[in-house]
Amino acid sequence: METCKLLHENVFAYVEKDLPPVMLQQFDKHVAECAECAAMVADFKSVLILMEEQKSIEPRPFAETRILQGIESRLEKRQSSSFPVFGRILQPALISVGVATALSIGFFIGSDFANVNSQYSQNEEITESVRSDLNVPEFMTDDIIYFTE
Amino acid sequence: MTDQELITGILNNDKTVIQFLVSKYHKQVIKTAFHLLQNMDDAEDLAQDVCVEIIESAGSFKGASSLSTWIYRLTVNKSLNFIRKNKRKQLVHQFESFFRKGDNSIETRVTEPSEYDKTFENNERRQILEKAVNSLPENQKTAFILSKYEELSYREITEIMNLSLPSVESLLQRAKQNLQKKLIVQFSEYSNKK
Ligand SMILES: [Zn+2]
Repeated sequence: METCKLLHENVFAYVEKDLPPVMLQQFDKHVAECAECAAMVADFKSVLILMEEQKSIEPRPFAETRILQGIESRLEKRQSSSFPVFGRILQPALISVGVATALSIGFFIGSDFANVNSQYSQNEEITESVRSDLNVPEFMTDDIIYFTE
Repeated sequence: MTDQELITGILNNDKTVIQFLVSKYHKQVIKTAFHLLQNMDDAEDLAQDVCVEIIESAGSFKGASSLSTWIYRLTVNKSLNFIRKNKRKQLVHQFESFFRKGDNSIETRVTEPSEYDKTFENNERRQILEKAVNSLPENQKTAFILSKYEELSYREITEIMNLSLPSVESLLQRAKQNLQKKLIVQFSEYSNKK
């Protein structure tokens, strides 16, 4: 009973053979006689095999290609949606001028209102993309830096 | 290619170097993230995040530790943040995977029908182990995974986790003790169910 308790407290170290030789021999002898401890030791030996299996886990096929494609598209997206600081300031002004010019030209020509509208909605889309670009991306907001260099 | 050459190449936006970076480190990142997140889709997404962060913050790599250590640290930080943000989602996944027979989150080998019972029992045991490792406190789980699954030395773990050697030794000791307790309970419950 005393040995059962002792083995319960050291079963991980026992199956890993991370104990003094005297203790290992004592437990070997006990396991040969105690069915309950033998079952527990068998369970922990299977844990060691499963842990070995975890070491040899491989990425799925083409993971490298998928990652490269993902990186490329994310970097491209960021590059195309990020403006230099002065651009961020100038962009709304430029858009306003663009809208005004488009409207003036539209009125000047005096025809094809649909065309003006589509120009306007395009500019509205650009304004929206600028607005969303000014927002701080979610990934930069509340991450915890657990371990630092 | 040395760490410094790699960093210089990234800073110069050299596509070949970026390809080399992904080819060299994607396996390390995916494996570590998988062990922490227990989901291969999430691990791949996280590997993408880690690579983008390496590219974007290569300039801040001081070379105080090796590039591999820095990448491990980014992976662990991002994985722990992912877990924090997706705790609810994660709980549902663990619950499902615990009760899903023949879980395919880990590539299982094709076996003969005569080995079915053995495989079934292995799957049960695998899920018990996954659950026990997942229930460890964050620091213990991280140290355990880096030591046992990634086979890193104590010194490397101290660098990644920014801890002293005695702290890492104590973390691993406690991780093993906790795991042992949890596994004994789980295995006895499982054998009572049989
Ligand atoms: Zn016994």
